[in-house]
Amino acid sequence: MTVQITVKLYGTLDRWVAGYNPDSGCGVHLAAQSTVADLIDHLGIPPRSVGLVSVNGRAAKKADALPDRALVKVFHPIFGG
Amino acid sequence: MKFVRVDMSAKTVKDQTVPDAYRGIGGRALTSSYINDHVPATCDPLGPDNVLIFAPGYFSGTPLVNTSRLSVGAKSPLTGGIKESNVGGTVAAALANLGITAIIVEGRAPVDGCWVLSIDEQGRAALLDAADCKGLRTYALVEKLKSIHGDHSSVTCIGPAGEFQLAAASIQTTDLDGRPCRAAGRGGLGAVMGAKGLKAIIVSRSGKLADPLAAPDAFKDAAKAYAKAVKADEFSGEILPALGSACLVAPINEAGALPTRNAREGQFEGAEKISGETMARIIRERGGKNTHKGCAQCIIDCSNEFVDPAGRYVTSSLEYETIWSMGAMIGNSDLDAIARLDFLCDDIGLDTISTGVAVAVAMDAGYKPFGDAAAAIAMVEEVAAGSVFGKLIGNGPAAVGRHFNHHRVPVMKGQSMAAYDPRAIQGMAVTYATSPMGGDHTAGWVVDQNLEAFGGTLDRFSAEGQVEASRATQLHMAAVDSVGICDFAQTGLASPEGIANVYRMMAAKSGNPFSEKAWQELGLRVLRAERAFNRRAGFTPADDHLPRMFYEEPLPPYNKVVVVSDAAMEKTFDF
Repeated sequence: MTVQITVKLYGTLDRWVAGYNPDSGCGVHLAAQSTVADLIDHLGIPPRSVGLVSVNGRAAKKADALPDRALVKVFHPIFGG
Repeated sequence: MKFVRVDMSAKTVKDQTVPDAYRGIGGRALTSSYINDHVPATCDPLGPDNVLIFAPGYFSGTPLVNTSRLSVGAKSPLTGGIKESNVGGTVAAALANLGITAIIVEGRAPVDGCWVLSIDEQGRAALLDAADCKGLRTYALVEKLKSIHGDHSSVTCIGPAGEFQLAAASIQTTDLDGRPCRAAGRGGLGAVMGAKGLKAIIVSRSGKLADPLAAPDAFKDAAKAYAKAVKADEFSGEILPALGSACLVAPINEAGALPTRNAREGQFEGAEKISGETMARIIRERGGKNTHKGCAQCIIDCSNEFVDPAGRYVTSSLEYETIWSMGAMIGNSDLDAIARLDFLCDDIGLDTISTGVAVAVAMDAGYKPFGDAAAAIAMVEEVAAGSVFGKLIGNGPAAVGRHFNHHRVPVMKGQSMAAYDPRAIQGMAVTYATSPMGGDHTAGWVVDQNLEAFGGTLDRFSAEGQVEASRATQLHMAAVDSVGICDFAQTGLASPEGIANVYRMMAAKSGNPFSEKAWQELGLRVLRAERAFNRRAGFTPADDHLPRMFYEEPLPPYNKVVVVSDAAMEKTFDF
């Protein structure tokens, strides 16, 4: 069993995914029960380069499981004001 | 190391050696100490007893990068309390390079007087009659002054809003391209400058009289390590140059913390259209400039030049807070309209945050529909026209709320909050409520603790740890604003020595030992002075609360309210 995930990357995170299309994002297949941390690892993005992750419009934690057909948005660290 | 003292009543200018009480400090520590010591707290902020003080940060004029930061201090006509408004550009470096620790403006010129203060490359200051500058918007004013005084000067000035003495009036200052697009926006200090009859300060950028460093080599070593860390950091070395502060739009919106339609919601359906990613792409496609250098000695280049479809200049720099206040907050997803509103605010001399929120309150009260960008532009133009409604907008959101008898006014101590809804980030509730500045995000930005590391190290919907986080950050920022390091360049604290590197530079400039304890005392000195002034001005613990809307109206999509108690707020600063 796998889950199909659509990923959208923000800031300069697109450089980690070759051929990334900012309009449509990218599709990823992962094993069922995969977590947010698994997805970040699969994409090859260093965890320190990730600030906030949302799953279907809700902020997520590293250990949150990814539902099938989820839209995951990955944001860079933020600072300042 | 001197004060330039300007008496607008007597039209005199004189130099003064910096008194012992104010040696070894700069920026906010100097402005807030001075205002607390010399301004009657109950005075009319627009009267002759108020003092307007301009002080570069302690590190301005040194080899350290990103230190052209100016603190402007006075009693605020917007809050009725003490104010420090912080701005970049070139003026802080220019003043420091002339050995000027502060410009102190006292008294008041006769009504309708219009003067400029000119400071030459030797640091000699003179007041000049500028009646022919009266009423000019800032871009036209700067062009006129440049034609008289030359290109290589910094101009710090007010527009019509300042001359009208409106409580949301900004003080604008020029960037490296000589445009008056950098704003000391908060607190209405443009109105204080207008009340004094001072239209502009022109400062030569050719000064070579900076205060000497006690230990130049040690300072340079530490400064080099600091700069290396700023460059190496992903945020300041890569993301900010690519997207500017607008990089915050998408993540803050996704977190449900982007106040939308006068803070009725926390997510804006048009956020993708006004995000940093979209803005940078549009600028690139139209031939504008991303990765633009706005401030002297900057190595981050977070500025930009936004251009229209024909490639013509519209504004610089389009920033996160303005994209929010003129975008999501008024339900507007038209980035071109936001850019136009940003330019108008700079040109008229208005704080983009207070002005956008004032428009949002008017729309919330039913004056115009949310999302009507043309109506927003017309409202801002009314400020320059001097109409009655324009004066309402120019006096900020509280004035607009009173006019419409509308209670949904997101202000603290009379000043509007910024682009982080406190219901979605409880620590920002503490900062907004307790900062002596009123609603102010830079005073204690605790967003990272609440959102980063995949969802935050604090529970952003819980009160736990929020007071402590805000208190620590407010004390730290009071010190940062005093040494004059750009907020975004704090990434330099990630150098191998961490913040101890800053202590080394403090010691190397002053010649005196400097420790972590001294850093904490610097922050405490600032906040103690500010709170003491505010108490004398009549503020009580009840002023360290938020408007009821934040406790009573759940914010979609998370449907949370502020849960930090009044008692906890009041204990944030138990001094």
